[in-house]
Amino acid sequence: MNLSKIIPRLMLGFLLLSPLPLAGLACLYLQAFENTLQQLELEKLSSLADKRADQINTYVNERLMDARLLAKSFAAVNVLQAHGNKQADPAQEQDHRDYFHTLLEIVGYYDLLLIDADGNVVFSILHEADLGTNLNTGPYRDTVLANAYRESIALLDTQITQAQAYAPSAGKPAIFVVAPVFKDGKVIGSLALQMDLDKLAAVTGDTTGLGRTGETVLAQIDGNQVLYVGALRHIPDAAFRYRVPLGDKVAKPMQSALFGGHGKGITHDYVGQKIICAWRYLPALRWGMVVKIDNAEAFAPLYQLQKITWVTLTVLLLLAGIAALLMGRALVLPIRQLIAATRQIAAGELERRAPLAGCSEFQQLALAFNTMTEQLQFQYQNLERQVEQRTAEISLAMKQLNEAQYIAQVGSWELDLINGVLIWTDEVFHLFELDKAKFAASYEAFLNAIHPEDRDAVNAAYRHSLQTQESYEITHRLLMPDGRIKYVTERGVSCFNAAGEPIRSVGTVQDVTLLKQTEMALKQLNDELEERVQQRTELLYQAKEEADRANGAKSEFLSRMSHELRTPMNAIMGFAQLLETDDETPLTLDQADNVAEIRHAGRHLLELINEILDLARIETGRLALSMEPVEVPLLITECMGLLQPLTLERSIELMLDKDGVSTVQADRLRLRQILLNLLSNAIKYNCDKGRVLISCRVIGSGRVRIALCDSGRGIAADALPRLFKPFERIESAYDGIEGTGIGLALSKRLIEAMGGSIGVESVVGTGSTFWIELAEANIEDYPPAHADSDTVTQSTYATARTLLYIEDNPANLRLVQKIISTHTELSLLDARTGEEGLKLAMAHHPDLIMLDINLPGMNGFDVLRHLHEDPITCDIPVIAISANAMERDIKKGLAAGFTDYLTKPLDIQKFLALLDTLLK
Amino acid sequence: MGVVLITVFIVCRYYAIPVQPIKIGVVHSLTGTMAVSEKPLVDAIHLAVEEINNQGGLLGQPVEIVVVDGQSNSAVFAREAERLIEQERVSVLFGCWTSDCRKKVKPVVEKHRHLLFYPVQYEGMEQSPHILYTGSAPNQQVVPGVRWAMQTFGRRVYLLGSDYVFPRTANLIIADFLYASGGEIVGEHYLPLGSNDVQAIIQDIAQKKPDVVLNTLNGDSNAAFFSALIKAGLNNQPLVSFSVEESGMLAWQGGQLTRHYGVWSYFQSLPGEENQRFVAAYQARFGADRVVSDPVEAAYVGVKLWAQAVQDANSIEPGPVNSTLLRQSIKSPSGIASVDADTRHLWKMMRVGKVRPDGQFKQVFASSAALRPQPWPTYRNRGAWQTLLERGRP
Repeated sequence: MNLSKIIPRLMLGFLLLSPLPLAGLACLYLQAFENTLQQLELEKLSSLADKRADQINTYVNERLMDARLLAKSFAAVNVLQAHGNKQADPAQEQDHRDYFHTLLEIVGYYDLLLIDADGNVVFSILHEADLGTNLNTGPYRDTVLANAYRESIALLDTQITQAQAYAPSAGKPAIFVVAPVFKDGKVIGSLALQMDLDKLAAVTGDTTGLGRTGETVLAQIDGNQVLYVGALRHIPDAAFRYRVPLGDKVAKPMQSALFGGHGKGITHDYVGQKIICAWRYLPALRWGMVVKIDNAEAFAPLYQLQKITWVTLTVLLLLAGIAALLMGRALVLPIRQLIAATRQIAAGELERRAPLAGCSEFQQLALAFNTMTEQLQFQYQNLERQVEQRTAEISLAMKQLNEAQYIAQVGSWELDLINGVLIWTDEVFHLFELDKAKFAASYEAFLNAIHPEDRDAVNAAYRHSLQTQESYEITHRLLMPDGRIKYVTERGVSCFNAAGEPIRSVGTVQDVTLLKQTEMALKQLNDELEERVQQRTELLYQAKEEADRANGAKSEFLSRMSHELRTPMNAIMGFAQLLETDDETPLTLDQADNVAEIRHAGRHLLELINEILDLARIETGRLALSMEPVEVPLLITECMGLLQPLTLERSIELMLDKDGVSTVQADRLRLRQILLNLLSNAIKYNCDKGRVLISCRVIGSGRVRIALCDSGRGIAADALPRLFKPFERIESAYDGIEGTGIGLALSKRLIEAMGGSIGVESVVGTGSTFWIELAEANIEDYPPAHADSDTVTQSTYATARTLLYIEDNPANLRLVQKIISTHTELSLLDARTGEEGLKLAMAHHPDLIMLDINLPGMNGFDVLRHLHEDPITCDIPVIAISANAMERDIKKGLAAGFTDYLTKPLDIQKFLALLDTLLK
Repeated sequence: MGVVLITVFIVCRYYAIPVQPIKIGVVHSLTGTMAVSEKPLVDAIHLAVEEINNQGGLLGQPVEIVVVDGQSNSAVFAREAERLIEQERVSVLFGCWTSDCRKKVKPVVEKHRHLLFYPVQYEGMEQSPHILYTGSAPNQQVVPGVRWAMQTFGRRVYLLGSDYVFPRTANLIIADFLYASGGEIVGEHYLPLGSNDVQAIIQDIAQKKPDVVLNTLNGDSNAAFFSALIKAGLNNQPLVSFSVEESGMLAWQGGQLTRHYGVWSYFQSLPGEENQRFVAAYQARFGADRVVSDPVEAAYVGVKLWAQAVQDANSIEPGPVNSTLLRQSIKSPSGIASVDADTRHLWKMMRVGKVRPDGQFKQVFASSAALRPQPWPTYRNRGAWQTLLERGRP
């Protein structure tokens, strides 16, 4: 084998390394051997323990048999019987004694006793102290013998005692076997055999098969101690003397055996020696038994084998180590020489060559290395020439670059982040107005040139680009030493290594001062323009607000004015009605006409006021509509009925054309108002004896169209757009006809509020058709019609009633006083303020209180609350009479607890009807 | 490398062998008149096996129980035992309650040279080489019980039992014992199993006023007897019951009598760590209201003894196990359970307990040590007993 080559050498190395797996294998085999050996030893001890237990049990059983047999013997029966009958025959007893003595010697007992049925010990071979005593009453009544005797008599069964010190035998431990003696099926006493413990010890002390360190250990429980009953190898003279407390950490197997345990294992014995053992419980003597061998002996072959194996392995490993060391050194030497040569060449000694030494591979390597060095030497010389050439080229390129940058006013820089070198081109120095000869390029010089306010931003932009690995661009100011400001735009990018750390940054700096200045001028101009636009917008907004306020004020004014007009109108209308209905002082015909004229004018005015009020409400968005299904033909018929006087006056024919029942979703009252307005227009602006055709049709898509077609003069087409505008009246020719001029405007707003539409078509000379359209209502929603009972009857009351009217307006008060005065059984109290009214109410407890809302001081709602809170007045019905006639006012009043709510001007008929209802 | 390969090879060899469970057969009545008594024994066997399996089974194998229903019928018991041995190939049998069943199963296990564990106290006079008796023999229960009764209450004794083999044989032994030790039988009466016709007996007892009544009634006749005693105003009559354990005392209200005693080797109320653990485990597994008793404990101990014998024999075959079995002892809830190789019975404590109102016993007397089992009481030889049994009277 050629050992100068590496492969054979490595093979040799592997060969030497093989002791390692060998050690593993040895370990494994040793383990397996240990397991098997342990198993074998344990089984061996287990069967030895079983055998020993069998031996002891057999010995004990034999003793039991002896006792039973002797108890059956003629001798035992005879002796006991003789003593029982007090007819002891000394000669015969001597025969029996001889018999028993022989037997004791042959089998090996210490003593034999006979006890009669009363407990008297009547016979003994050794004549110890117990002979002649009574076991039930005598000094030995608590001995194990006495107990066993009593048990044997009581249970008619043979007993064996535990080993215990027995006083009559000089305190030596004793074991007795006691059997009952029968005569004719009745018990006459017992026979007791005192065992020879030396014989027992011979049985238990047998160490056959236990080897050098083996022994059988026996013990019993004595109190709370383990008492050893046999000889012990480690403790001299231990029988019935050596004790271990129960629960002690030594002698675990014995403690287990004494409580019935049965097993085998490796543990510690009574002196803490490591042993392999098996333990058993012997129930007859209540003994525990441990059969054991010292571990050292049992596992001696294993320990021997282990020793040999480990020594061999250690030697092998040592040898392998030394061999590997020598081999390695031989291998390493030429490599070291080569390394030394390489270092010298690397240091520039290109003339150096590696020595040719060691194995042939190394020699080849050195040869190849030397060839390479020669090649290197040649190329190095070549390279120097090329470098010179390239340097010239580069300096030319640099010059060109600098010129280009000067022209473009762009400088460039490069920062090597590894060694902190910063390179600026000439143009950067130029831009920063630094003298290249005095200042070196540095980050500090760069930062100093930046306007102090911009430094953080520039720094941040650069740091951010390093974090995100993206390029950056920032325009900032430079503060020149003489205070001039220059604007430059910087652009930069960085290179990063694989770990994401920056290596190098490059960037450009461009002078943008001119550009920046232009840009700023432009921005200023733009700002100014925007400001002006904003000013104008604000002016416009103010103007719009002004207009809205004015419009609101107008509506508010209309609303207030109408309200203020209603109160005097109430008086006017009321007194006019009174004049008409006063039966006591009837009016002359002329007066009646005048009063009628007052009422007519008044009603017209009231309508006008109401319509203006409605219009105002719609415009201020305060109109409340209660939408419900309304049966249109019925409503039209009702309106026709209301307008009958007017039609009769003008002899106008009204015709209703309907197809079935059309129901629309609308506010009933408002729709009636619209229909009345359109219908009265159709009548008013018709020619005499004309006719009005009213049609009601469902026109598809769930809408109902109501059209009123008159035979008037028609309306010119150019006037049509103005029709629905408020306060526009078309022709002066109509001047004779009454009209507010807002009826149609109001109708249009109302119909639109209900989601409908209104329109007109007209042909001059033929007539006009006004129509409205509304959504059709679902028929199921139609509520059952309820009959109105508006019939007012002049009533009388059974008893006198007192009424209280709280009202600050004297005209209204007078009106009510006048109405009440027609009923003699009613008396009226009146008050001008809430406080006064409350006093009167408390004092008189009226049957009904009428209350104005707008009172000076305490208002109507306060008065009502006081009335309701006082137990005296809380049951009196209170009705409100107020000029606050809006629907929400009425709702509010009813919610506050008014029994009813009447609006001014007071409808006398309605008022009387209400009195009638409440007072009856 | 070599070490790794060898390790892998060894691990594979050890784990490649599928682990077969060790089958054990349990034949007890799950239906019929004996089911109430026998079901708790099946539970006890389950508990013991679960404990063994939780500690890793036997010889590395889990233990699996095959339970069959004996239907309270001895013929079914014999048939099912045969089937368990031949078809299920069980390693051991646990079962039987009544002597009738045991006597039918005995020839089956003997024919197959198999092994049966019998858990109930019985009349003795039997010893099969293929049965291990874990209940008390007469000399461990009846004889010392009678002796205690006589010492405590007096020598005039009244015998009452159900009319079948156990009470008849037990009373035979008692009569013989009384004769030898100077007692007197003032009355002897047998009721058919299940009969409630106790009136004549009560009158007899009231008239004869025995010092103590020795009761070997079985089943719910006891309920009728106890309540009739109370009705007749005989609450204070000393009474010793040999066949009523805790659950029976509770069900039949034996605790209403003021001088009522039971004789067993085990009471649920025994102190001692081993018993506390056993009762707690049984109740945790089967319900806190469950009651254990002498036969339940004997069934449980039987399984544990068998398991230890299997480990000693390193085999599950009935033959080898039967031979290691005879040298076993364990720590048991009732004390030390140790096999007597000569008689194939266990060394047993004899305990007398006063019946408490809740059916539990309060121990008032116990033998000073475990009693050696003697299926044939030794004051006669076996031949004499055989003659006596055939004659039926001493």
